[in-house]
Order: sequence, then structure tokens, then C-alpha cells
Amino acid sequence: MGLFALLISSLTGYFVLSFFKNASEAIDIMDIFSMTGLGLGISAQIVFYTLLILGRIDPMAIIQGHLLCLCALFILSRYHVSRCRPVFSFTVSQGVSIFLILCLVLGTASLMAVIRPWGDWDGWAYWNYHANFLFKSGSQWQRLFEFNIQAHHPWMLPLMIIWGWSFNPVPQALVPAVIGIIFTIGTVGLLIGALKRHVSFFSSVLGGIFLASIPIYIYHGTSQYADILAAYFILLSSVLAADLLKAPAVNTAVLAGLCLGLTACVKDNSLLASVLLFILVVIRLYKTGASIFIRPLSWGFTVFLVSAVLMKIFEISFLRYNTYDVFLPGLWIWPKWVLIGQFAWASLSDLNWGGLWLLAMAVLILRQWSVKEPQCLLARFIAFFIIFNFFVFAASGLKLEWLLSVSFNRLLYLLAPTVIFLVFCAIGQRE
Amino acid sequence: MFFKINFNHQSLRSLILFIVVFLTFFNLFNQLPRLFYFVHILKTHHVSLIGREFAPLSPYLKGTPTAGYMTCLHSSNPLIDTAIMGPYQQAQFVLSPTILDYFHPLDYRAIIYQCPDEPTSKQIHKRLGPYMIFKSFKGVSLLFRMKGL
Repeated sequence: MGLFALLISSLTGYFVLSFFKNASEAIDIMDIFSMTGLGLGISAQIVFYTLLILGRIDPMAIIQGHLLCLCALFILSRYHVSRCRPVFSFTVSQGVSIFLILCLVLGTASLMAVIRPWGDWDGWAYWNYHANFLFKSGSQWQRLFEFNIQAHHPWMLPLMIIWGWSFNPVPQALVPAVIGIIFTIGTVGLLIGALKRHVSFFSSVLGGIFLASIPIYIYHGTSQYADILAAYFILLSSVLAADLLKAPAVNTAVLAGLCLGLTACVKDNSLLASVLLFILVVIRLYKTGASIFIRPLSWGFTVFLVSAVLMKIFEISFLRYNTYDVFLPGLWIWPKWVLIGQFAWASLSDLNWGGLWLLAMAVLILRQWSVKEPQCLLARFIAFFIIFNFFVFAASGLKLEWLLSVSFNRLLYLLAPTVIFLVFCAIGQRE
Repeated sequence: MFFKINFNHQSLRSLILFIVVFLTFFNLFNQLPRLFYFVHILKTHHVSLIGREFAPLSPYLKGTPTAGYMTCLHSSNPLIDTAIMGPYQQAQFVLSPTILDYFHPLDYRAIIYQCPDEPTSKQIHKRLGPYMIFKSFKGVSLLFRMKGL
């Protein structure tokens, strides 16, 4: 990715995060790994609205839009009263340990990315193609949606790729590869940072290493799919939602809402996940008497949800040839559900996941949680999300065996970092 | 939903921690042969370029919004058949922003035809009527039809 593009996005993320932190809070590991992802998500939004305003992709306008946004955030941060001190909440040795672990992940990820410069099948055939088309088509960008096999997910990843290409007129394979690597490492770092807020440093590092050791994790993360972005944003949203429920505050509510909105812009699955998590958090806030935080959460969610909704509207409006069918009457054909159950059981014990899911179920059953624990809500979110996706699989008109073989592992991939977060919180928390 | 087993016991927590550490090392050791395999690939193989047989057709399709795409391969479910969708999507990627219509190829003057079998290819060309042809390799050709739309 263009170094300038990454720097601008990271600075954007830093200013946004510091806007929502209190003066007494130091910068922790989670803040460091959330600022780049947040910044890149906001960059994708800027590219989207530049496209809508000008009617085409204009690299110069995109760069100017970013610089304008950065200047505005910088000026706001100078006047904002509760900006955070530039103090770090972790020791040098902790920082060095995490740095070494992430260097190992970086080496492995880089190796896997170099061998597949344009990623795996969906990487070049779908996401990079989407970015390529938008970048080259000028004012005819709506034609991308004529066939729904070409574009039917929200556009965050293609827009991020276009942002990286804005500094170089010729689309390069480097940008999508670097985005994959950034989010692969970023998710590990984010998990370590999130766990460090709840459990010991040793447990948090072990959780990060466990995630990186899952055989499919780094390989799939560097395949240039949007799954790693969705996994990152689902984890970020889940952790912020848990923080909001544990210690409600307006700043946390808005930030959680913004991250939920960004989660909605990644894939159809993550759109479903963000809406589901939002509903569960609102219900929990209402039941615990903290309903005054529902409005700031909703405002934050709406800011970026609007763009996800607009993307889906474009997809439907410009469609000419529908190649997918959804057969709702087919929803209740029982052999379909038997097949889905078989796939689910096989995945639970699949060595690819290191028995992660069986372990998670064991921990949930053994852990005596009161209903007030915010982690309980995340467990419910994961369960409902998987069940909703079962209904989506059953209702699809595509061949079910094929659909499950390509989609089921990706569904578990989206949730793996959040499941590991839950498992290690359960292991590490003291009564 | 939850059994009332008291998770306060340090032994239960230690057991699960031991399982996690074991799984981590198990996964890491399983990854090593795969890592060596990737290093081997990097040293011995050239990185393959996506859709290189379609790339020579790109200058001829500049300014063409949509072209047809045909193949001589058949399948009961072409959307999930990699032998058909693979070349099609590679062509789509390389030739964008020209959109390739797999479902209605005969509606367009420009048609990309992909067929590794030369005799079959010639028979199909005859059926398409008069055309100008630009040939790439691996059985890929671009036909500009003079009439018959």
C-alpha cells in the first residue's frame, strides 16, 4: 500500500480514537491496533462519498478529501478538552514481546502473500476486480452491478484498495496484498490488546499466538478476501460493545456505534453481524437501565450504516441479470438441515480449527456466568449469528454442498477471533 | 443452559489452559511442513499471472462496454464449475472495465471465444457468421462479428 496512504489513514484513526478517549486514559495496545483499521475504514468511506459526489473515481479528489478530513480532525483534537495524554499503558518488555510475535506473523504472512500476488480465487475474481472496475470505468461505474456475480457485497475492501492506488495511476498487486497483511497482523494485535484489558499479559499473548497458529488463519488472511477485514471489525465491535455494557459512557457508545457501522460495510455477513450485535446491545442497555446510551450508540451506528445501505441500494437498482435465486419455500426441506448439521459437526472437530469450537462450548458450559456478564451477550451474538447464517444457507438456491464447502469455513473464520476472546476471558478472569 | 459447575477450581482452569497450549503447539508444528513447502514454491516456481492468455486482447476491447463470452466446455452447473468459471473470471479481471456477458454472448458484436480444441473452435466460428478474428494463445480468440446480431 502507498506509504503515504497508510500514514494518512493511521493518523486519521489516531485522531478519531483520541477524540473519544478521556484525559486520564493512556494509550494501550488495543488503541494502537485499532487506529489503523479504523483509519482505513474511514478512508474507504471518504473514497465512497467522493465517488458519489463526483460521479467517478478521481485520485486527486480522494487525496484532497483525505487531507481535508485530516486537517479537520487535527483542529478538533487541538480544541477538544478530553484528549488523551501520549502515555503508554504497557511496559517496554511487553511491547517488545508483542513486536517479536508480530514479526513472526509478518514473515509468514508476507511469504504467503508473495506466492499469490493477486490473492486466491475470490481475491482477484471478486474484490480486486471490483476495485479495478471502479478505478478504470470512469463515470460508467454503475455497470459493475449488472450481473450480481460481479458485485453483491458492500464495498469496503475495494474502496480501501482504490485509496491505496490513488498515489499511483497504475493499479498494482502490492496494495491489496499489503491490506491483507495489515489486517492479518492487526487482528492478532487487536486480540492481544483486547485480552490485556481483561486478563493477564501472559493469557493475552497466548490468545494471540493461538489465533495465529490456526492453520487457516494466516493463509486465508493473505488471500485478499474481505473475511479478515470482517473478522477484525467484528472483534473490534464486540470488544467495544462489551466495554460499553461493563462501563457505560457516551464516548464508548459513539465509538462502538461507529465501529458497528464500519462492520456493516465489509460483507453481507458482517452487515448481518453488525445489525444483530446492535440489537442485542440495545436490548441489554434497556434492560440494565442504561437506555440513555442507546441514542449515542445509534447515532454512531447510523453514520456508517448509511453508506452500507446505499451500497446495497445501488446493487439492487443497477442489477440487470439475476444469477442467484433464493427459494424461501426450500427453507424447510429437512435433508438440507441435516446436511448443514453434518457440516457444522465436522467443522467443530476439524483440526483446521484446533478443536476451537468444542473448546469454546466446553468453556461456556463449565463457566458459571451470571446473566450480567457482558461476555454472555457476545456468546449469544455468536450463537444467533451462526443460526441466522444456517437459515441463509438453507434458503439459497445454489447447490447446498458446494455453498457449505466454500462458505462454512469462512463463517467460522469471521468469528474465530471473537470466540478466542471469549474463551481466554473465561480462562483468565478471576472470580 | 449452563451447568452449575463451579469454575472457581484452579485445576479446571489449568486443564483448559493446558489444552489451549497443547493445541497451539500442535497447530504450530503442523504449520512447519506447510511453511517449508511455500518456501520451496518460492524458490522453484514462477509466480503465475492471472489471465495472461486474455491480456493480448485488451487493446482491441478498449472502449467496448460489453462483449460476449463463449466457451466450448459444457457443464450442468456452469456457475460452480471451475473449469468454466476460472477462465471466464480471469478474462473478466484482465479485460475490465469491459464486461463479459457469459449468459447472452450472441447479443454483442465482440465475442471472446475460449476453446482448447481447434476443430471444435473452427466449427463454432463458422456458425457465428462473417467476422474478424484476433487470436491469443491457449485457444483464446476475439471475434468481431460483421452481421447476425
